[in-house]
Amino acid sequence: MDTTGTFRREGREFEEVRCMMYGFGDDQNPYTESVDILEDLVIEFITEMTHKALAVGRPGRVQVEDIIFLIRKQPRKFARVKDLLTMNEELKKARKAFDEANYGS
Amino acid sequence: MYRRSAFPKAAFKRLIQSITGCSISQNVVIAMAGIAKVFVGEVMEEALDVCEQCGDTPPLQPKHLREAVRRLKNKGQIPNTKYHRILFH
Repeated sequence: MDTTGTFRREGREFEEVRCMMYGFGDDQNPYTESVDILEDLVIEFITEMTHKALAVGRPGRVQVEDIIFLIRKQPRKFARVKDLLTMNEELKKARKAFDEANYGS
Repeated sequence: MYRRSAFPKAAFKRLIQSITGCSISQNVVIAMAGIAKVFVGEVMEEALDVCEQCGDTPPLQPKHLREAVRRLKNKGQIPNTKYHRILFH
């Protein structure tokens, strides 16, 4: 099962990593080799996290609670996940309210 | 650029699902993509420090990134299930 094959230089993912590096302070045109390394690191990171999440909580499934458990000691990541999920809920509520308002009228 | 850049969610979902073998919720993808970006930030921060300490300038070279990863691993910032370090014999 070689998932890295599907990522290799897949236009959009590679481009996103490149933009992200610039956004974090690298040169506007980072070296391709460096982007490659970072892309690999991200894939490895996600893979590791997924494996760990499978092992905790309900075995064989990955749920948000598992992720939160895993990053509980890393304040930046924890705060970021909390923000993203809260924002997502708010957007959902806003969209629902908007739809209901439209449907009502 | 910092705010705008984000990982493609579809690709992440594919990757995670191919590992778990079961379907995952949208929230999981949102969470993973979010912390992946924080992770990139942590590596970049460390790598830029290494770059400066080496007396180099951006663009970052692979050696900066590798050294950054080495340092973060020592700090326990990078998950590694491949082996467990035995602290006390």
